[in-house]
Amino acid sequence: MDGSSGRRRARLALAAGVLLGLAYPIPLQWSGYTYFHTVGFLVLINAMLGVGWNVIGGWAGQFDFGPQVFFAIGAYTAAILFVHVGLSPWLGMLAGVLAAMGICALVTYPLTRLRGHYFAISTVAIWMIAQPIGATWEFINGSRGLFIPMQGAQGVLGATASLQFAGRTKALGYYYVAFGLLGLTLWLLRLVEHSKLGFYFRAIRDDQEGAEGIGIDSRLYKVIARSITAAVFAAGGVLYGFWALAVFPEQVLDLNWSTLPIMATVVGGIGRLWGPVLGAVILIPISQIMSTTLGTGPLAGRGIDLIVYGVIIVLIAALRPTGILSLPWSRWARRLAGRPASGRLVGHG
Amino acid sequence: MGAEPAPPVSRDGALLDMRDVEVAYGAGVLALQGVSLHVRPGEIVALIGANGAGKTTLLKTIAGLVAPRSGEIRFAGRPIGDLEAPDRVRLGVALVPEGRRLFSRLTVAENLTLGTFTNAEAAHRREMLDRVYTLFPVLRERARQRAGTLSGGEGQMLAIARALMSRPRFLMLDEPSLGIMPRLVDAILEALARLHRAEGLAMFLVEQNVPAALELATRGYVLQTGRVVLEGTSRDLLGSELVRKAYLGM
Repeated sequence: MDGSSGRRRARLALAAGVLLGLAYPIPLQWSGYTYFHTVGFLVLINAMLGVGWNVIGGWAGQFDFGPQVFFAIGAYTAAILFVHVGLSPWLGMLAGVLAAMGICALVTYPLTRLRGHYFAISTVAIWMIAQPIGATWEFINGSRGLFIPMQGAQGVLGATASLQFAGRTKALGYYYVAFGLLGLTLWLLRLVEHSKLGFYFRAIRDDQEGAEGIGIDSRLYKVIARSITAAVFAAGGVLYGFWALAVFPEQVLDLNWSTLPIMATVVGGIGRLWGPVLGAVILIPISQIMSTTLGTGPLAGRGIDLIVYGVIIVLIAALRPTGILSLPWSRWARRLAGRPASGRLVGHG
Repeated sequence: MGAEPAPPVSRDGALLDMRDVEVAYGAGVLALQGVSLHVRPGEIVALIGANGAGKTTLLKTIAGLVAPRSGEIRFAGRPIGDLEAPDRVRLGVALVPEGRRLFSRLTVAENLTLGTFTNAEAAHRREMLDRVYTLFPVLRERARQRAGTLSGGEGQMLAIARALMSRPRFLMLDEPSLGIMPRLVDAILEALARLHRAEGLAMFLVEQNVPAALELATRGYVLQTGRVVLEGTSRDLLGSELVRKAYLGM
């Protein structure tokens, strides 16, 4: 009974979250001031990337600091196909996801010989190798990057199909596309979490030798885990590229595309499907609002938001390393409902 | 060190047959030197030796977690030296590693289910779970608890049960009694004896507790600094001067 009421509460929380997420931009839309839509868009995209990073970092337990490489591969693949071939961005997203997964598998297999810190450092190294390639490769226009021309599609359907929203509905359209992609990511990764794959990943995280001893090929499954992460980052990269109407190396290979999702994951709850979502909802508005509201005041300039992030990370690491979502929420919910937690054990629990 | 003359044992039909296996760590530090041994179907064989003798290396070599430099390993007549560890699990080789190596943040039931993924279809999983829960009833009580919350003895039971979930034909146990309270050691060894009586599962047992190991096993090998220095029936070993002096303190 306790389990089913806990599940009911979780379902209620999910329904409330979905409604809130869907309703959030509507009152703002009337005001014509779309800044907070953009904050919402960045929350959603970082949440999505965090949910993806959780697969390699939270479940498989391998610290990957270079997933922004796959963000870039996704963005470039879709942009090139759009600019040169006129391929639909959604098909471009599929191509970008497949390209990122393939390249990730090839690059990551050798890295899985390394463990712990060495694996983490090697993922950074791959990112460092990607930067000069992105900046000098003429096929993708080097450091000048690619500009995505507007197609001028008509109507909601046309705009959605071409992943191009303009004018007053631009911020709103991208917000809902990001919302949908985050939902899709959560749904697919929930399936992975409860599948054989999800258990293999966590077995490798908890004890790699133990996992190998029962016949789990740890290198293969680390490659699969990172390729899933790469797929999510690639999809996010496509969305971001079309939102920005440009793809250039400094932008898509920015370190923030890994640090923000990772911080969101750690703050929300590493290894928990919804952890990154909660973390992104907390962290992303802080940086956005701080960097805009401080404006030209005495505290203005880059870095204040990073100081706040640092404090939050230190607090989480010291007080609750398993993240905010790991706090005993269900016990608190019961207490709030006026039913003492201990009474249930004796009673009809 | 001179080996006492070993009784000739037929290796025909051996389930596991190792010949002249050498394992080196780093630049030429030999962990195993010319090790030859075998285990027949349905047999329990003990491996005795001091710390650092190479016992764990030997088990890992059989499991495919360590690559030998030379020598031959056959399982059920088939050379397995080139097979990866997961393929050996599929053939029926299972290792209960030293230190248990459980998936501490997964539940007991999840640990067990993971043990079946390599070999069994979902239909068999239920049946396998029932089997190990019958062998170690405490695991059924703890099924939804995280493995990291188990006591040492319960953890060892889970490690053995997890290995059994792959339906092995050959079970290797690396120091199953290490760091476990004596009452639970007895319970674990009894469960292994029951398992052997019921199913005739072949076992290869590494154990510091020499009297207990030789009581459970019918034969044994003594490993010293990477070499087999003595082999024989359990009774012979218990009577030998080497074992009495070095391992029984008599």
